[in-house]
Amino acid sequence: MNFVLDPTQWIDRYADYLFSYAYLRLNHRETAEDIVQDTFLSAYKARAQFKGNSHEKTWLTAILKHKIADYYRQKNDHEPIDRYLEQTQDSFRRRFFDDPKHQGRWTTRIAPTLTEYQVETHINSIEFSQTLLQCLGKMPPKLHQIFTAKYIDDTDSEQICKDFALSSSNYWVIIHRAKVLLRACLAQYGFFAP
Amino acid sequence: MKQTLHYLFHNCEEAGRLSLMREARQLSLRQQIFLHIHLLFCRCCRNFGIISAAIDRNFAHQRRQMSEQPPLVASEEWKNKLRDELNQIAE
Repeated sequence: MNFVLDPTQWIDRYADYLFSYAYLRLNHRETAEDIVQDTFLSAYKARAQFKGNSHEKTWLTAILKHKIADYYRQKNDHEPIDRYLEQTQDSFRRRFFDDPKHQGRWTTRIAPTLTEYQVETHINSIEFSQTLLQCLGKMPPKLHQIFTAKYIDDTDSEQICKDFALSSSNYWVIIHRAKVLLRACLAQYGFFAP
Repeated sequence: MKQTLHYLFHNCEEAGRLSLMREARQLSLRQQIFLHIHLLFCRCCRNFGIISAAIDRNFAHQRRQMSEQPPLVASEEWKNKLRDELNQIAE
């Protein structure tokens, strides 16, 4: 199959998709807009190199992916993740695992309680999806980047550890904290709230 | 002994972490036993597991939908700006 490019239709067809793709990974509107804009312009300039062996949407997404990777490389965030996890450990525990009677158990007021019925009715609803994304957006950047690699990009755990130079134990601490934060945020919006 | 029991019943953080890890890899025997017993007695952690699975399922659902129905809509103003820029370099 030979695919062709039709740049006159790009914005109508792919702007929302590419913007969503970028925003979910960058968590910043202006940055996402700039990078998608840059993607369209570079793609247009490089259109002679398009070989037609993939759909133009796939081709544009691949360019965007590279741009996002470049952005993170240039951002040069050098604060080591272990230090971040250490520094935030106490406040995380105080907030979530500080039952006054039994230290280490869920702090009762945010203990998750729900029925199977609640889960099944919410799980793929638009409200739940939108709220989940909103809560994802509130996650601290250090956690956000790793969490989206797993749940938005669907990258497997070993690969993420390699890509971010993470130890396996830190990786699971991050995923767990991120999930706990998401759950608390969902409860604030009334999902699975006690 | 008291310490072991405290660890067993009052370490919801560890239990949550292990229940996530379990999805991706085999736990050690010690971890399996701890998690099993803890979940037997801790309703909160069982519920957390249910919510966590719900979150996973929703993300999987959203990944499948992403391409057909992007979850976000970019602003019209920005799209118009983009159209202008593409037109400009096309001329």
